[in-house]
Amino acid sequence: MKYLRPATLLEAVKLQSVHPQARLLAGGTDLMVRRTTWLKPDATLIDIKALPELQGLQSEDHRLWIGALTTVETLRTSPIVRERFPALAQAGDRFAGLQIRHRATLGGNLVNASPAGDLIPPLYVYQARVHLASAAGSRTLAIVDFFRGPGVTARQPDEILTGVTLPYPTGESAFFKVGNREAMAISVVNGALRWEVAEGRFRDLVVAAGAVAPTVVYCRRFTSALLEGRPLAKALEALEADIAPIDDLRASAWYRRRVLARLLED
Amino acid sequence: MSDPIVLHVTVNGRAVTRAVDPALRLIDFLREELRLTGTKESCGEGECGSCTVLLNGKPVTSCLILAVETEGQEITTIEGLAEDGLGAAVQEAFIRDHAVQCGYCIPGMVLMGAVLRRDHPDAGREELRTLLAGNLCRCTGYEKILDAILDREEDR
Repeated sequence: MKYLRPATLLEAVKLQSVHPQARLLAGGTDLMVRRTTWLKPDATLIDIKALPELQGLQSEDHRLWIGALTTVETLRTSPIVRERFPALAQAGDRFAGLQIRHRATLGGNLVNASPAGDLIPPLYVYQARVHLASAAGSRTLAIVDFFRGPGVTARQPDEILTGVTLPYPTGESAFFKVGNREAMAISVVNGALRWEVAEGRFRDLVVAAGAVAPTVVYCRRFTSALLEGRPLAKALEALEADIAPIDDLRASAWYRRRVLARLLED
Repeated sequence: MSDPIVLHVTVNGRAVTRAVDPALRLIDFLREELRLTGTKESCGEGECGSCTVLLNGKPVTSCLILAVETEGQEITTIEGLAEDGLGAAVQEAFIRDHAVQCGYCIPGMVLMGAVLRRDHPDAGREELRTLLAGNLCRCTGYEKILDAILDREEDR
């Protein structure tokens, strides 16, 4: 196996264009678990952990930049994330265990694109943008446009996810997760909400749910119903068309529908 | 093996230089190359915590890390922890409070105990239990391990 460790983003994107089959290694908490599928004598690994451009959190006027290499533990304990993006911090609280959180990165969770990725629903409700760089330049996408299917994203083989930007939100927000254990569990159902209430009614409401469709999805029919003032029972009926859960080894589709509805009810 | 890479790391305070296969996991580097067999492998997929070591002072699962990723960094294994005042105190507590049965989870538990005493000195039992979520024990039921981590000399 060939192991490369570029020192800058420029070096990294150049290496990627020379080695289009290479895998990018950040925390390794997904890649190393499934190394038997790719770790072969002819494999090339590009370790991106040294890239300064992907490090750190940067507060700008109206938004926060989070570098792709930010570990889940750093995200979880960051004062600005806890205060301004509580759903993201709460997702960190329920994420694996401490040892994994010290290595797992935001970028890795996004690029791995599990439908159950815990950091993803909060990024949906915060309307995050994903930043990608290649030797040809850079581009950004709305988070909802980044995911194409389980494990599939809009990232091209010569691109590196450098970070996300999140506009500072108004209102309140929260994350929820049900797994087969309290910790160290892949989500059976997860999601995030952001809401503003005025005079006993929703003035704004955004809900994103994970592990109930091939990608994380906005529950638009559900939220539209509530914003129109329709009763919760009607909104929960509408929710059924927002999601498309499957049976898998963790839970059945039926169970996921029931649990998501109850979680949103609460 | 693939072309070896020369690795320079500090392990338990001592500088180490070795030529390694890039595909070599950190846990295997520690156990096989350096003969530091205190770090154990149980699951090999980052779930059980028995392979826990400190990398630059932070607990990580060494079964998911390639040795070459640790270039220029500091690793502390359970062997190194025994030389440290905090680590020795945690080990004493584990003995005193009968927290050891088969012993396989213990190096990881003791390392985490030292880290949690250092970083969460005011944590209560339930918070410690949550922070130990990445360390599994099949023997003890965890209660005596928690007793030991909470059982500090200065509090007696």
